[in-house]
Amino acid sequence: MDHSLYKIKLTEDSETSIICLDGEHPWLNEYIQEISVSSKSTLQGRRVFIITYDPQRKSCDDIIDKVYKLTGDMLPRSGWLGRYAFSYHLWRHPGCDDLIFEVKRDQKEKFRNYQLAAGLVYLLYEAVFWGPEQGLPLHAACIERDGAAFLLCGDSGTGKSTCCQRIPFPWRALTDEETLVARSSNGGYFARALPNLADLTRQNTVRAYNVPYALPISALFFLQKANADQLHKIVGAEATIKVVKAAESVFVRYHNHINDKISFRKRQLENAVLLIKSVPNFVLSVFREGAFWRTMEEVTNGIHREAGSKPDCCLTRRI
Amino acid sequence: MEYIEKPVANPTVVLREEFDDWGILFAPDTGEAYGINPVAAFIWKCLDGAHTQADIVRKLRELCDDVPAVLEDHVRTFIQSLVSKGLAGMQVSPES
Repeated sequence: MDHSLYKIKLTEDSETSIICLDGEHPWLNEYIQEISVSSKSTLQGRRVFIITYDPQRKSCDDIIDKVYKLTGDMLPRSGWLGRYAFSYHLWRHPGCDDLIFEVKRDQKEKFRNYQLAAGLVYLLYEAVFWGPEQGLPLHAACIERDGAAFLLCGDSGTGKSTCCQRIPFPWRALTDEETLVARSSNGGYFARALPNLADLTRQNTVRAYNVPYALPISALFFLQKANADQLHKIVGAEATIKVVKAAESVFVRYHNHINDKISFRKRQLENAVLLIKSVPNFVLSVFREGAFWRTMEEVTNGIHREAGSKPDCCLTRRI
Repeated sequence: MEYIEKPVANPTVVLREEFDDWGILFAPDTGEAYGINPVAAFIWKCLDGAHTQADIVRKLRELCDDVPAVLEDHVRTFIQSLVSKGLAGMQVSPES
């Protein structure tokens, strides 16, 4: 068989099948390993067809023929709209959910891998963002305690990584950089730790992120540096704006993929409003020699993880 | 001929008011979001090109108790800040 297939299910409702039409793509294997998913032999949900870029290719016809041969489904022959990035072309069609991801193979590996993974990650985010889960990727560390997730949001330099390094057992840091939040069918929000894409360009990284591992979110904390540990609750507009900023600082990397930025940003606000209505929000002032987790514990002691079913997540097997 | 200025909201900007306290003015073309208090939300709703700044001040005095003497300055400053951020503009028309 000259194709490989992965199925990535980041949330209950977003399922993306990634199908390589012309054999192995090592960058994809690398990314898949990093997010701890593998492949499965079904072609349900949204499909992303990956194929090597060919400068001689004048139309999508040969790709469509390959897809037909593999799946029995005939994609539209015309009307595909291209988006060009340095390492790939992404084709969308207004009349179908499937995507074609043409990958260039002749570039410097490290940079190319980063770009390709970024393109793929955006496609995964997009499905959760526009789907019924109304999810958002946040520039946030995710820490766990007693089966619940606590997010530390903040721009670079606000101390997310430092907090993750300092926080003692039984707290546990899952990621210090990027967290996907999404609504489950019971209305609660779940967090999933996502790899920092920069990890893909590091030579010695050994870390794998268990993306399918989802935890109910107990609270969001917006970090700021201070001379004393302090905490205050925020609600409504203030909290929403902070969530929008935390999401925007992730999405800013993917702006060249977004066709209709106005609709996109309206959705971003909508998703942020829903999130802050469901999850308590606090500004957490952190002193570098303090014990910020004790401050968190004062308020989180009253917050219990929401009862409900664990989300059904991700899957893998290779065909 | 005399001209009068009437502030008008940028039609692409969205006001969301579902919170108990402040509202959000959101500019989807830039992604900028601003929290505004209920008085500012009231002023925003008057930026329809039909009200002058003086009209807005008058309406606020009718609506609110204990209005400070500097209300007019505050309203002017607020509208200027909206204009400078691209959230509103000024409609200029001949005085009738």
